[in-house]
Amino acid sequence: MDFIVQLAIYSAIASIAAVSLNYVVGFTGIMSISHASFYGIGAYGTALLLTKTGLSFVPALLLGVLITGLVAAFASVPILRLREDSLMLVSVGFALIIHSLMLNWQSLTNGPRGVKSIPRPEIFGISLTDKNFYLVLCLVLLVLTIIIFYKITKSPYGTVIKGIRENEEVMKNYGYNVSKYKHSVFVLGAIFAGLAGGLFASYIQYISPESFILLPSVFMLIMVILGGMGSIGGSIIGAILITVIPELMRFAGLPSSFAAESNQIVYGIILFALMYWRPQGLFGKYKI
Amino acid sequence: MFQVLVNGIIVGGIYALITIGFNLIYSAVRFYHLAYGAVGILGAYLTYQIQKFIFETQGGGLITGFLFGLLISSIVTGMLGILIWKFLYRPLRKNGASNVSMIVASFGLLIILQNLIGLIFGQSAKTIRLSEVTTQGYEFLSASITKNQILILIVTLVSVFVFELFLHRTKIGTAIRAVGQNSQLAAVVGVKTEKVIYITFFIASFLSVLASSLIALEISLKPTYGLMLILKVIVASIIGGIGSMRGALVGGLMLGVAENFGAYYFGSQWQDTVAFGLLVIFLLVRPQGLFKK
Repeated sequence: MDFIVQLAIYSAIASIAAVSLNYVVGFTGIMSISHASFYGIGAYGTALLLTKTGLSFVPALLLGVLITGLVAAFASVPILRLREDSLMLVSVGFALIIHSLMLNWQSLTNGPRGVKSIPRPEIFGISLTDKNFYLVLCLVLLVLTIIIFYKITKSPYGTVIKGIRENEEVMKNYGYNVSKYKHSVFVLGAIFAGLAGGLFASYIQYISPESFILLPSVFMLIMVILGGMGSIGGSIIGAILITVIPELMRFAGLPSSFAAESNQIVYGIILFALMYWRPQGLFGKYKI
Repeated sequence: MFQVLVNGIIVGGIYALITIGFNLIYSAVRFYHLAYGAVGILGAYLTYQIQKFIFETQGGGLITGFLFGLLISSIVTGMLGILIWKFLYRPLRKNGASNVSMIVASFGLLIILQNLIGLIFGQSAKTIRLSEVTTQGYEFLSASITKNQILILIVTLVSVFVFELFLHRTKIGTAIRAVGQNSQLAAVVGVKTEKVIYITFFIASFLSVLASSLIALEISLKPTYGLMLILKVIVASIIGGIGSMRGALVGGLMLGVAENFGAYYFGSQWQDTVAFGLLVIFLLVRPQGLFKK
């Protein structure tokens, strides 16, 4: 049971990240691979505020998320000047710079040793050290995330960003300030990635730069692509699948020394196969 | 200072070599072959294995083993490059995959290759050695150059020279350049585009193995270096102008020099940050690179 609760927590956190990435990538067509960096900034921000300043959970998480939003606002200036595959590349460059900062800015981040003994939260006097309570917190925030992105994408604003994905030039000709829309989408997406990161840090209680380099970015992208571009429900199913698959593979009886590699090979195959058979993902309508 | 420059040029030469191959593929098929980095690293592991085999069981010298391994593994990996195009990328392209789709698929391929390397050769770092004891370097104008570096320089210069001749003086080379400039027009005037793409993948993969094996002389090999390598290649190719051969040379050299000066001034842990900082600057100021209109 404990194990299932843990998987549910991971799935919920992954879903928040995936839904927000889908908002950026699937709904608006900004092919960013820097989402795990914002996830990482949120995690580091929250963790450092909790361990170094003694702030309690809620203000620490909020501040962590705010910091993520600020970094995203700065990062979006260079990243959003580009499009499609060049945007993808510069976002990878940005992700690696952030990783290298986490690794080398030792006085702030503690370098490769990471941040240890991050406290579990306490809200209104209820300690969430119990996993069940933590799951409730994650689920509440996930539902909130879903509602927010659902409302946005169904609103007139949502219609404009989908228009940008379909044809940027046309939207410009209609008189929309495309760049302003894209910046706001990027920052909001990053903020929710930061929220997921903060939740992750406080749950797992130990973070290191290695948790936020390539793999989580790939995971998030696979979740979104697998579930389907522009489908919120798809992203959640994608997030659950990608979280659960490695656990299922443990039952497949592979020697544990091969587990990490064979997991990743499966992800690689999923990515390639999706691009071949279903570039729009399981539930998506739009091909990338 | 001069030493830093020399080191930068030597590393930059290797970057240039592998970037030439990357640009060659890009100009023939117009998408980013991200798995290219892992292909090169796989080849370097093969070189390592063949050298080890020759040295330990056949009684050959380390240098002979290295050169022999380099040749065999470049050819084998070159073939692998063709297979990757024929059985993986081409069906995808025929399916009407977009450029972003291709990049995602090739990223998937990169992950698969990297982990296959890890499964086959293990995760521990491996270094290719050319002599059993560390040898004294040569002094040259207040900079010291090691024997490894001299070999690297020689292999790089010879490869670039031979490749240039091939590209400009042979019929196939001309066909490759024609497809690179305008593949439809080339097809119209009777160039067998498909065949040219095969040759392109072969040569590029061949070059990537040369470069990766040379890198393995300076730093140790790890299964995950494919990603790092391809990112460096992309930086170099964007600096020079994607698809341009001369750009690849200049971009690779610039990247190598910038990295080494970055490491000299800020410490080696910031080396990669300097490289990607350079990428961001170039994408913002001159996204078309130095050698592209």
